[in-house]
Amino acid sequence: MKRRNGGLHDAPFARRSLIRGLGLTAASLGVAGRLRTVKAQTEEKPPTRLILYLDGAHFQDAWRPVGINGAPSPTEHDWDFGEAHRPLAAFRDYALYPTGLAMLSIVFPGMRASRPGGHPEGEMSLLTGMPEVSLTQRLHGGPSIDQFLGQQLNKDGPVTRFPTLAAAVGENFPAQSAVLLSAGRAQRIPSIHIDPLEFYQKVFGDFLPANNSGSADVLREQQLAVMGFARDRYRALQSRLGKADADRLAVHLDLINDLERRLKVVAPKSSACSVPSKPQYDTCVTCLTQDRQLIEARHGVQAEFNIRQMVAALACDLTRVAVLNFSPYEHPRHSSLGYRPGMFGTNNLHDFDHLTGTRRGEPDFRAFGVRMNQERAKTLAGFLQQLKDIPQAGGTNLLDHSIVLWCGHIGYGDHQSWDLPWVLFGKGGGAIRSGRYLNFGPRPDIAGNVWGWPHNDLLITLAHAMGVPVETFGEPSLCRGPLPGIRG
Amino acid sequence: MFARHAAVTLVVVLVAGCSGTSGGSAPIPGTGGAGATGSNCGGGESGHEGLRRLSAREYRNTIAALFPGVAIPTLELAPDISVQGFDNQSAGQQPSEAIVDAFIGAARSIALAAVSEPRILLGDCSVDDRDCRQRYVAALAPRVFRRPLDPSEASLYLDFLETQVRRYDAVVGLRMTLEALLVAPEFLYRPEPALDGYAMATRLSYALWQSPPDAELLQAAAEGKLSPGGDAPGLLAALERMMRDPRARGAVADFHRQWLQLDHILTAQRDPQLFPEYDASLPPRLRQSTAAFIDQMFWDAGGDLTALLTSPVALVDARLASLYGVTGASGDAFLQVQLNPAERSGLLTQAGIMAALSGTQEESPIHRGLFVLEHFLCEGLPPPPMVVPTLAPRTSAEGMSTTVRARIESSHSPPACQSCHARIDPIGFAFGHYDALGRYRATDGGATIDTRGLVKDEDGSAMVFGDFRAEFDDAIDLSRKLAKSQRVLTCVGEHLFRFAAGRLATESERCELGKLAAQSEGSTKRLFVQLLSSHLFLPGAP
Repeated sequence: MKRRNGGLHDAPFARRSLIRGLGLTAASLGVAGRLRTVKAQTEEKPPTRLILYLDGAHFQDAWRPVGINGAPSPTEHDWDFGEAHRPLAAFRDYALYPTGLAMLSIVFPGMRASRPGGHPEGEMSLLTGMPEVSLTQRLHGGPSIDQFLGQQLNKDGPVTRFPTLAAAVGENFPAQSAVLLSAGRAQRIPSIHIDPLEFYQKVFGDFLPANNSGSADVLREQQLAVMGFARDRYRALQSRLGKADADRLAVHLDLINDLERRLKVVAPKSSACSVPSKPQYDTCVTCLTQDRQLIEARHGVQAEFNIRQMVAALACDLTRVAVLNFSPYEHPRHSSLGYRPGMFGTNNLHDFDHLTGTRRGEPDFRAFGVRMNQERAKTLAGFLQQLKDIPQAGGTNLLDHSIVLWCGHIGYGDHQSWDLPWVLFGKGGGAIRSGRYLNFGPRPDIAGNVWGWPHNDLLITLAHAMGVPVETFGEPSLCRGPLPGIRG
Repeated sequence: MFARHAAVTLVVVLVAGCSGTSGGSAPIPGTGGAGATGSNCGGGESGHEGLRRLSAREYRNTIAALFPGVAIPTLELAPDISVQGFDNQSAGQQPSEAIVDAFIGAARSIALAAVSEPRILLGDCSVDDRDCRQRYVAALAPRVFRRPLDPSEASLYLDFLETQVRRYDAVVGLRMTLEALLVAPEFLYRPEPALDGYAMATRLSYALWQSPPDAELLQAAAEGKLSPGGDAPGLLAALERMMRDPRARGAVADFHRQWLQLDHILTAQRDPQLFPEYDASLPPRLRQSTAAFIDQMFWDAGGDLTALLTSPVALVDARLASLYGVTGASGDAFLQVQLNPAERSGLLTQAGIMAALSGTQEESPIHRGLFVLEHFLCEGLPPPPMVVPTLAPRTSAEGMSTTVRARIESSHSPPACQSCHARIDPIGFAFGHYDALGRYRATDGGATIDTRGLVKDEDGSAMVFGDFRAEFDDAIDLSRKLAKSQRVLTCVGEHLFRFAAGRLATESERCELGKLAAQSEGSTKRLFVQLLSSHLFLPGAP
C-alpha cells in the first residue's frame, strides 16, 4: 500500500523492532529527527527527566489561565490558573502554559477537509508529530518522543536501566496506550504497565531479599549467567525449526538480550533513591468489568502505586523518560462526584468529554465538567508534589530537574486538534523558564480557518531540554525549531 | 463481544454487505446445502500449528506437576491475550518484554522456593552430594522438556550445574540450573522439530488437561503408541484414560467458559432503580449455575447437543429459584429443578446467558442475535461501526410505551442497517420473553411480545445456514431447531479445534470438521474425542 505522502510502503513488523528502537538507523532518523550532536549530560548536576502525563479531555474555557492585576486576559507574568486548574495553585512557579498549539500533523498534508478531528489519528500523532502509516492497523509514522529520547540518551551504551518506562491507569489501557506510543515507524512499543505489581516486579524486582545468598551484585552475576546459558539454548533450537517458529524465538532472544543489557546498568547509590515497598492491594487491577465500584477502586490502586513507583524509578535514575497515561473514560471519583449514566444525555464520561466543546455554555454542564477537571488536576498535583519532595543536589528537588508535559490529543471535546490544552511543569534543570503564560497562536477559529503553532516545535523543545538537539521532530515541513522563549 | 456496546445503543452496521470474519469466525463451507457434511473436502492443506507458548494457566499447571509438594509462591505472569475467542492461540503469543520478564522472574521465584525444600526435591540424599543433585536434574529435565534429552543436551545442563556449584555452592548451583531449565525454550514453548510420539503426547495433554503429559502418557509415547502411523487402539485407550481424569473436567469447563463467554455474566451490571433485585452477589451465582448446567450436559448427558440446547432444567439456589419462579431450593446450595418447558429450553434460555446478553436497563436482542450467529452458526459478521446512535427511549415523547422490538425495528429500517441487522435482529427477538435479569415475562411493558422470527434471503424466503433454516416461533422453537442442526455441531467442532490446536481451522479443515460432526451422533463430547484422535489434530494419527 502506498502512503499518501512520501510514497513509502507500509513496513511489515520487523521482529526485532519490538525492543529495538528507533533513531538508530539512518532511515528512521531521517524521519524522526535530524541530529546535530548529542550533548552528554554533565555529571555535576542531576540529569533532566521528562515525564509525559496524559489524561482526558479538558474543559476548554475553564482550564485557560485568567488575567490578574487588572489584565483582562492572561499575559506572560500576569496570569493565574483557570478554574479547572486551581488545585495546582501551589505549583504556579513551576507551570508554563504554551497556549495556541495545534496538532497540524494529523491534517498534513492537505487533508484538512477529510480529517477535521482525529481519533485515533490524533492519538497516533500526538507524540509522534506525524501522520500514521496505517490507521486500521494502528501503525505509527515514526517514534513517539518518549521512545525517541530514551533511545537517543542510551544510544552509546546504557545510561539508565530502562530507556523509558510507561505505566497506565484504566481498563484495557495497555492497548489504549499502545495507540499513543511508538518505538518507530510501524513499530510497537515493548510494554506498558497497568498492573502495579507487574510494574514493581519489572523495575524493582531485582532487589531480592538480603537472605538469598549474598549481595545484589552476586545475584545480578548469577542472573546474567542463567540468561547467557538460556541465550545459547534459544540459538540452538532456532536452527532446528522452520522460519516462522525460529523468528518467534528470535524475538524472545532479543528480549533476553535486552534484559541482560539492562541488568548490567547499576543504579547510583543516592539518598534520593529509595526502593518503594511492594504494592499490596485486594483489588483486581486487570479485571475487565462494568462494576463502578470495582472500576473506581481499580483506578485508585493503579494511580496510587503506579505514580509512586514511577517517581521512585525517576529518583533512582532507573529511567529519565517516563509516560503516565490515564484513561479518559474513567475517574476515581466518578460516583462521588455525582455522575451517573444518563446525565446530560451521556452514557459515560467518554460521552461527556465529547460534549465539552458544544455544551460548555450550560451552567450545570460546565459546573460538573469543572469539578471533573479539578479532580484530574488534584491527581497531577499529587504527582508533582512527590517529585518536589525528592531532594537533589544544591538544595534543589526532583521537580526542579524534571519536565512534566500534561497533555492529551483533544483540544475541544469533540477531537478538535487545535488550541491544545497543554501545560508544562518543572524547570528541567534550568532548561525551562517556568511560571509563565505564553501564547503561540491566535485564538482558534472553530471552523478551522485559523490554526496554531505546530506542536512539533514543542516536541523539539523537549528534545533540546533533554540534551538531544534535533532540528526537526515528526513531519519535517511543520518544524521551525524549538518554541521561542521557553528555555531558561 | 458484549463489551462492544452498551446494550442501550444500536448496532448499526453501515456496510454494503454483511459478511466478515468477526471474532475470527468464517462461514463454514456448504452454506445453503449439505456441503459441510459432504464427502469430498478437497484434500486442502493443513494449517501450520505455529510455535505455541504455554498459556498462564498451562504454565501454572505445569509448574505444579513438576514440583509436587513445593509451596510455589504466587506467580506474577503476564496475562494472556485472547484472540479468536481463546487465550491460548498461537497468534496471540508473540513474545513481549512483559512476558519474557515475567517468565524470568517466575523461574527465579520457583527455583528459590524449590531449593528451599530439599527433602521434597531430593528425598534422603543431600544437594552437596554430586550424584544426588545430578540424578535429580537428570530426572527432572525430561519432564521439563516433555521428552528425553539428547545426551549432549543433558550434559550441557549437568555441566552448568557443576560449574555453578564450584563457583558458588551446591544450593545456588541447583537453583540456577532450575532457573535455566525453566527459561529454556523447550519448556516455555512447545517446539516440534519432529512430529514424534512425544510431540503428540504434549499436544494431547495440553488440549485435554491444560497440563503436561504425565508419566503414563510419556511412557505411551516411548512405546510408539502415539506416533504418527502408530497404534490406533493405544491412542484411543490413552484418550479414554485422559477423559476420565479430573484434569479433563477443568479443561472442558475452560473451553465452555471461553466459547460461551461465560465471564461476561460476571460483568453484567443493572440499573438499580429498574432492577432493585440485582446486586453484586447475583452475577457470580448466575455464572456458577450456568457453568454447572453445561458441565452436567457434557459429562452426565454425554455431551448431547440436544440436551444442551433443550433441557428445561436449571441448577438453582434459593435466590435463583426465585428468579426462575420455581420452588424447592433453599439457602446457597445448588439443586437441580425442572423448569416450565413452555418457557425454558436449554442453555440459550438460561438466566445467566440472557442476563449477560443484556444492557444495564433492558435486554439486548442485538447481542442475543449476534451470540447465536457467531457462537452457534459460526457466521462471520463485520465489526460494528465506530459511532452508534443511541436507541430511542422506551417511552416516546407522547408518553407511549414501546417494546424493545418496535424501537429496534424502527431504528434499523434503513437499508444500510438492514444489510446485517436483517440477520441479527430476528434471532434476537426470539428471546423477547427474557428480561435483562433473565427472568421470564409474558409481556413487555404490558404489550404483547412478538417472538416470531424470519431471517429473509434475497428472494424473501427463509435464509438457510448450512442445514439450519432460519424461521422460528420463539426461543424454544429456535433452540430445538438449532439442536438438530449439523451446522451447529460443526460450529462447536470449529471452536473445539480452535481451543485444542491454538489456531483457526483452514477451509479444508472446516470441511473435515463437518464430517467428524456428522459422525459424532450429536454429541459434543464424542466430537471432542474424535477431533483429538483425528489427523486434523494429530498429523498421521492412526
